[in-house]
Amino acid sequence: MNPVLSVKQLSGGYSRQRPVLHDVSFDMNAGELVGLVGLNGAGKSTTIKHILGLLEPYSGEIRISGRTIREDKIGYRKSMAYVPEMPELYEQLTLEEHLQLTAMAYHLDQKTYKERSEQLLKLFNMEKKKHWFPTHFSKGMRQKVMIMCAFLVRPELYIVDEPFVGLDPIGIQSLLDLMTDMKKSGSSILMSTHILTTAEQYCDRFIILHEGRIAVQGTLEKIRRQFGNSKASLHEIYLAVARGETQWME
Amino acid sequence: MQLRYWNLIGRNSGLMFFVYAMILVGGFYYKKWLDTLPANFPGVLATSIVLALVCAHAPIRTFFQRADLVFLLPAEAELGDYFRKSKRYSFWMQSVGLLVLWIICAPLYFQSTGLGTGMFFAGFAALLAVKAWNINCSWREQFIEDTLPLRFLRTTLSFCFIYFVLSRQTLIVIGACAVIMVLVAVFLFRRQAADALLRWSRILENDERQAMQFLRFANLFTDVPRLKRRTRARRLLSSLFPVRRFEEKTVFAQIFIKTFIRSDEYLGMYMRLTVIGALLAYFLNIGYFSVFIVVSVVYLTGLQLLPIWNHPFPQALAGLYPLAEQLKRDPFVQLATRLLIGQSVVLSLAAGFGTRSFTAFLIFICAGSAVGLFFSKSYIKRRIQRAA
Repeated sequence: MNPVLSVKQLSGGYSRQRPVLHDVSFDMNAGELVGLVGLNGAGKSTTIKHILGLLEPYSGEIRISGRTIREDKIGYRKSMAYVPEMPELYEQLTLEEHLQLTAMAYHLDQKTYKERSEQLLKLFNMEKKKHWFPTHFSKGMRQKVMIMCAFLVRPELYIVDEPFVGLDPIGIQSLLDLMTDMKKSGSSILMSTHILTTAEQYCDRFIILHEGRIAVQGTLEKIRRQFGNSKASLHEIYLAVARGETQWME
Repeated sequence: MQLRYWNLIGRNSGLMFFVYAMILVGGFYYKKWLDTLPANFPGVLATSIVLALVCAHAPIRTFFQRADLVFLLPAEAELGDYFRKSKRYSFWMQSVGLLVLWIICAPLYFQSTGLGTGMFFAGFAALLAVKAWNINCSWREQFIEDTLPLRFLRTTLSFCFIYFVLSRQTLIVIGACAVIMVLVAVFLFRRQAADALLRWSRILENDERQAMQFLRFANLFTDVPRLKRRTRARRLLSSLFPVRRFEEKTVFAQIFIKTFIRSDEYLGMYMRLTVIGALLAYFLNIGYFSVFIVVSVVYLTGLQLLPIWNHPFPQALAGLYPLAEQLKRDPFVQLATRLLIGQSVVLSLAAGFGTRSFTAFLIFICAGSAVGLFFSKSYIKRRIQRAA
C-alpha cells in the first residue's frame, strides 16, 4: 500500500541560489500523527509549503497517496486540508460562509456539511458567531475558523502548522481530541509545533529538522535510544540538536 | 514606488486618452454652462466655498510606518526638523492641487466679477496664505484630542478670509480677519497643543489613509499588493445572494459576488459611476452623442471591476481549493458581464429619457451592452488568462 504522504529527497526553498531544504525524505502512513519540530528558520514552514504545492521542488518529489501534484492537481489538493500558522480569512465573508465555501469546494453534500459544521461550531464554542466577520475575531478565534474549515473536510491528510498559539485551553483540548478522533478514523496528520510537551504526549513519531535537513526522525523511543538516554524528554533532545551536539546521531 | 504605478497606468490603459477627452469635452461644456448662467448667480460665494473646503482639508504627510511607532517613538523630541519638512512637503503638494482648482474656478469667478487677471495672482497668494495657516493649525491638531470644533473653526475662518479677499472687501476687514486667524493659531491651537502629547497612532492612520488613496487609484489598473482593505457587512444586499446551490461551480461565484458587495469600494464605485453617468446622460442632453457617455462609463466601470480578480484571497483556503481554474474564471467573467450590462440598461434609460427618443434608447442600449460584452468576454478574459 502507498504511504499517505511520501517526501523523497526534497530540496527546495524560495531561491535556487540559496535552497532552504536539503535532501529531506520521510513517509507518513494512514492513522499517524507526526510532529515536525525545529527551530525558527529550520525549514518547517518551507517543508509544509512544498507539500501543499505552493512551492516547486528543485529536486526530489512529493506524493500523496501515490500521486504527485503534477499528475492530478485536483485530486492531490482534495486529499488534504491545511491549518496555517497565521490564520488567513476572507475579510469579506462571514464565519458561516467560510465553512460553506470550504464544503462546496471539497464536494461535501449539504447534509454532511450541516452535521459536521454544527458539531464543530459547538466543539469550538463558536455557534453564536456564525454571522460574524473576521475583523471582529481575536487571533484565537481566527485560528478556530481555520481549524474548523480543515476538519470539516475530513481528508486523508491534515497539515497543521503551529496550531496551539492563541487558542484558549478548551480550544487546545478540543483540537487535540479532534486530531485523536481523525487518527482513529484513518487520517494522517502532520503537525509542526514548538509546544514540545503536548507533542510528546500526542505524536506517534517525530521529525526534527535542523538547518534544512532532517537531523533525526522516528518514534520517541527510537530517538531516545539513539540519544543514549531512555529518560530524555523531547525538549532535551531538541535542545541538543539545536545546540549542534550531534555526535550521537551517526 | 508611485512612479512605477504611474508608468503602468499611463501605458496600460485607455485612461490617459479618456482624461484628454474629458478635458476637451468638459472645457467645451463648462464654457457653454457659463454662458447660460443668470447674471445674479453667486459665483464669488460658490468659488469661495469650494476653495475654502480644499484649503481647510490639510492632512500632513509624514511617511510614517507602523514600525516607526516602536522605533521612532523614543526619538520624538529630536524629530522637530523632520516634522517641519513634513509640513513643508504637505504644503507644496497641496498647493499644486489648489492652483489647479483655482485655474478651474477662475473663469466662473472672473465672469461673475468682471475683474482683470491681476486678481488671479492676488487670489492665489491669498489661497497660499490660507493653506499655510491651515497646515500649521492642522499640525497642532495632531496633539489635540477633540479636533472637530477646531476643524470647523478652521474651515469657517478660511472661508471668511477667502471670501473677503475675492469679493474685494476693504483692507480693514481683510486685515481684521487675518489678525483673528493669527490669534486663533497662537492662542487656541498652539496653547492647546503645547502641553499635549503627539498622537502617533492618529498620525499613522492619517498617513496610511493618504497613501492608500493613491494606491487604491493605482489598484484600478494593476494589482497593488500592499493595499489594506476594508469590509462592510451590507446585510440586506448580501441576503439577496445566499448560497443557493451547494455546488463547486458556485464557490467562486459566491466569493466574487460577496467581495463585490462587501469589500472595499467596488460596489460604491459601481453605484457612483452609474449615478454620475446617468445624471450626465440625462442632463447634458446631447442627443445621439450620449452614446459616448454610455460607452465610456461602461468601459471605466469595467476597468474598475478587474481588481476583484486580483483581490487577495487567503491562500490557505482559496489557493488550495481542489477546483479547476475554469471554475474560477467563468464566474468572474459572468459577474462582470452582468454588472456591465445592467449598468448599460440604467444608463441607456437615463439617456433615452433625456433625448425623449425610443430609437436613441435602443442605440444606447445596444452600444452599451456591446461594449460591456466585449469588455468582459474578451478583454477581461484575456487579461485574467494572461495573469494565470
